[in-house]
Amino acid sequence: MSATKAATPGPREIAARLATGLLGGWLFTCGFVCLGTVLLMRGAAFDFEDAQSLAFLLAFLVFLIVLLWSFAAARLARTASLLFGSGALMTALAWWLSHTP
Amino acid sequence: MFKTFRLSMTWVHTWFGLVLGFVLMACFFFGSLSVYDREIDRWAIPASRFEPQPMPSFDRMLEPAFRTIKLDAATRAEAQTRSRSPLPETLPLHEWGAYTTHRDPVLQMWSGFELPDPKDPENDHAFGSLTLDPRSGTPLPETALKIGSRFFYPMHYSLHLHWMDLGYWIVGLAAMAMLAALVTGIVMHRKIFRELFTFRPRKHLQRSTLDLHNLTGVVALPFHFIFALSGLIIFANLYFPVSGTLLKPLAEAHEKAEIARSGLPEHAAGIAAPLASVDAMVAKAQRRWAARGMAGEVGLLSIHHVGHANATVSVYRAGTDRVTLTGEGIHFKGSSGTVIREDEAVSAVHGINDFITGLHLQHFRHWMLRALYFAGGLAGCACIATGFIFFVEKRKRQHAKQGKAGARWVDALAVTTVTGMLCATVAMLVGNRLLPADLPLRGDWEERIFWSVWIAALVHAFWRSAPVLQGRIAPAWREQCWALAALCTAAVLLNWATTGDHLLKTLSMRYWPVAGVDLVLLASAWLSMLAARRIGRREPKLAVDAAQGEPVHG
Repeated sequence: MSATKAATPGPREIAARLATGLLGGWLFTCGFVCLGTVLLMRGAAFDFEDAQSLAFLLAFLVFLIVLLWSFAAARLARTASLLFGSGALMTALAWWLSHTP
Repeated sequence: MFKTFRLSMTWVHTWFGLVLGFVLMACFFFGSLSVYDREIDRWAIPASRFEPQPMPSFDRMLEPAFRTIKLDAATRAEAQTRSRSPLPETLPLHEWGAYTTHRDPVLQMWSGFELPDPKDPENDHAFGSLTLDPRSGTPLPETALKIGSRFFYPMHYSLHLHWMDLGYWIVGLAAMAMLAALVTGIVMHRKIFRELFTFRPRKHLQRSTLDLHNLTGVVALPFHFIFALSGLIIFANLYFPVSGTLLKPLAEAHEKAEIARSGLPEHAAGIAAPLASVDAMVAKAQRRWAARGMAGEVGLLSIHHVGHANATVSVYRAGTDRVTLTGEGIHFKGSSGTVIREDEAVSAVHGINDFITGLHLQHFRHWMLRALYFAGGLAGCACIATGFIFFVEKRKRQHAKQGKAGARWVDALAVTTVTGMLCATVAMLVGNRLLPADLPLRGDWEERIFWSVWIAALVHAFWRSAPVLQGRIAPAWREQCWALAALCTAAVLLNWATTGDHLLKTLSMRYWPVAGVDLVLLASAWLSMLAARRIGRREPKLAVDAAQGEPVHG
């Protein structure tokens, strides 16, 4: 995305922001839920159900913030790479931790 | 996206609100009706119009009734697709359940059967159901659709689109849009406190619409936010399906530990044994709840591994005395009636989760709070509907000058989702009173009426919205308001004609489920008539405004 903005966003920018906000936001939140669950179990001795419930209670607020951020951010590329990148990273880390005794 | 944060948030508010507002309208409206789903069921099934009943005796009434439950043809056909070999005539029993609330005259019962040769061992159950009149022990015909609890209620979270859970995902997206619209709405309007007290109905339509949009949004802001959020949290497992995939090892280990801790057997013993008196177990459970100072009506009774030596009986209380979702279940050994365990106090996180779920599902007995929920839901509908109207009013003259059709299509969709949805809902009630009582698959016909009227309303709205192209009001609004008024009146009259339960009778008997539905229908008829006449008066005036090209500032 260019730094200078047109008065109204074009269809490509809208599509990019929607993809970032909804898909990137979902992946990021998914990573947050997974990693949050695993870390609460390992670090705070929560049982699985409690850990996941707490992650779910916060998940949609996290999603809301990153969704709005995707539309407010001046540099969409940075936001997109952060959401998709850290979402994938958190998910992978949680998968690895949950399969490691 | 734009130069300022506020402009970006305004864009999100406008476009997310518009596109997903059409779905949100259905969620809020059918959610509001779900507050009184049991009462609508009474209206729709005249045979069930009597006072709520407590859980009847298991030993004398429920057990014989459970034994009559079979899979219906459709469920059997569906179960057959999950089985590798042809299903035997009688399937092995797995569980029995009976559920009631403080608002239910009839008892909902179900029987779970096991498929002997399933394709997927984790998907090997099939359920038969029965609705029982607890006064006599006679079943009600299952063909009678419980319109409130089985059609309007699932509509608000699934849209009845079950393929790939598509409806749930669309509703989830709409709920996220609601949260986003609320936050961005606050960002857009800085004078939020003043908006609580601002409504200028005599100003220009665009101004009064915006006032009402802000008022209904701000007055019930916490309600709207909590309901959208709690709805999402209730289905969080569906929106983030990680416990069956990524975190499966953790979830499975937890489940195993829970089963071991609970002391309740996972599999049937395979040794036949009769049940001890379940009534005695219920009485014991009620004594234990009373000792803890809790209301003691049974809400859910479930029996697992029916007929086996290790059968268990679980008795849960109806959580009528608190907001949180509660049950304080007590579990018994079926063959002897000894207590295996009592549900212990839940953890803090679990408690918060139960509270949020209970807040949304409202099992409590508090009619004033229930009425406030209904009002909050309708305020949400008003907020969304005025959002549509504001969108159209702000753009239609400009679009008319530029020869664009955008405002017209939005207006037509707004008509469809506001008056069209109301017409479809009330037409379903009219159909419910007109269809022959012995019609096979009667409920399916009622659903067909609902969808056909909604589609007809869509076609009508697109056809009768052409004047919006000239910056005028769409006649579709007025015409559908008249149709709604006629349908509402017809529903009340048909209820009287087919059941004899006219308003004077139901009011004098204080039978609120039917009287309430009739009163709301009459109030809706009156309001829509009023709306139709006012729109009718404004149509020519607005046409003149449009012709003069009156400048409008919003």
